[in-house]
Amino acid sequence: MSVPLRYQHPSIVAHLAQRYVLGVQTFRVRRRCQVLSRRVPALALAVRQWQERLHPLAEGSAVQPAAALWSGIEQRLWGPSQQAQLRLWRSLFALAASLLLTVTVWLWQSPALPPGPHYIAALNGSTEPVQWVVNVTRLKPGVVRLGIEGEHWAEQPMALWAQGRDGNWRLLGKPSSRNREWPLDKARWLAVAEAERLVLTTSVEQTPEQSGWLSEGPCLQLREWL
Amino acid sequence: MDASFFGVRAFFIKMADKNVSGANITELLVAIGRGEKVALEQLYRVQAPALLGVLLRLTQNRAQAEDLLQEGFVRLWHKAELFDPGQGSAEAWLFSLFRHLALDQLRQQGRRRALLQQVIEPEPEEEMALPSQHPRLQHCLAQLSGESRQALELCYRHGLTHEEVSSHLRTPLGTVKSWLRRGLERLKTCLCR
Repeated sequence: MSVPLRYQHPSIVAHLAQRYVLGVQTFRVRRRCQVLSRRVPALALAVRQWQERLHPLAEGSAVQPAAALWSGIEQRLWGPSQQAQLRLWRSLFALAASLLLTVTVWLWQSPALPPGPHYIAALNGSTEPVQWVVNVTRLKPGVVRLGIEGEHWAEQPMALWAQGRDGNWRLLGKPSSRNREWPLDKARWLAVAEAERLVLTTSVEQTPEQSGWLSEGPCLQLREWL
Repeated sequence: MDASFFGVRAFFIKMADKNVSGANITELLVAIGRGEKVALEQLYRVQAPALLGVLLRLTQNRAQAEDLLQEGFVRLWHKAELFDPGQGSAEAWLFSLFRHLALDQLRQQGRRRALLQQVIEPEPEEEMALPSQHPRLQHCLAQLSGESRQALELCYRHGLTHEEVSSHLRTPLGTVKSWLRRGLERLKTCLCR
C-alpha cells in the first residue's frame, strides 16, 4: 500500500511525531501513526528522536511495587491457566492438522478409487430372495471386470451364464469361493451389455435350459458404458 | 531445569548487582524478544520501580498504577521482539510503551476531571523536577517560556490532552497548542545545538 505524499513533508512528519510522543493523540490516531511510522522512515526517526529528548522528563521518583506483583505477572504469563490454554490450542491445532491431512489424502486418493459398477444383477434362488450379486465394471477402455458375491458357496463347480434378448446363452465364467472376480473379454462383456438376465448353474457343459439353474436375475445397467 | 538455565539466570542476576545500564536494558529487551523468561524477571527488578513512579504520576492511583505495571509487563513479553536495538534508546522505548498504555486506559475511563483536580498546579516559573543527570535538558527547559514549560509538563508528565490542558489552564485551545509547538521547537533547537 502506498503512503500519501503529505506524510513525506517534513513539517507534517515533525507535527505527527511531536503529538505522538507527547501522547495527545486519540487511540485511533496513535495506531494510525504507528502503522505510518513503519512505512515512513522519517516519521519513525522523528518519533525516536522526540522519545529520547523527552524521556528524561518522564522520570521521577521510583516507587517500589508490591511484592506480589511479579507473581501476578508470572501467573498471567506462565500460570496453570495459560498452560491449559496452550494445551487446548495445541490440541485444536493437532485436530485441525489431522482433519486437513485426512481431507488432503481423501482428495488425492478419490480419483484412484474404482468407479461403481456399470451393470449389476441380483440372482435369486427359489427359496431365498437374494443369493448372489454380480457386478460388471469397465475400468478403462478394453478392460472390464466381473465380480460376484454370495454367502453360500457350493463345493461343486458353478457356471455363470448370460442370456441375450435373442435367447442365446454365453458362458461368462466359473465362479467359486476362490474365484470371485475375473476379467471379461470383448465377446463376454458385450454379452453382459446385451443380456436380459444372468443365471448361475452347476454345469459348464450344458446350458441352463439343459442343466437347470441355481439362481437367476435380470441384468440392470447402472450407468453409461462409455 | 538444565545447567544452561541456571547459567543464564546467574548472568542476569549478576547484571542486576552491577546497576543495569541503558546498554544492558537493550540486551535484556533483546533477550525477552527471544523468549527468555529470566530476562523479563531481571528487567522487572531493575525497571519496575521507575516505571511504577511514572504510572503513579499519570494515574494518581496506586492500585491502578500497579495494575498497569502488571499489564505492561505482560504486553512487553509479547511485544519485545518488535524492539530494534539499532534504532534508539531501549529505555525510551520501554517508558513509551508503559506511558501509552496508561494514557489509553485513562482516556477509556474518561476520568480526567477527577485527575485534573489532583494535579498540583505548577507555578508558571517553577522548574520541572528533573534528575540531576540531565543538566542539558534542564538548561534547555529553562530557556522556554513559563507557559510552554507548564503546558509541556501537563501533557508529557501528567498525560493531559490539549483540550484538558486548555480547560485546566482556562486558556484557548489554539494558545495551548502554540505554547507547546513553540516550546518543543525551542527545546529541539537548544538540545541540537
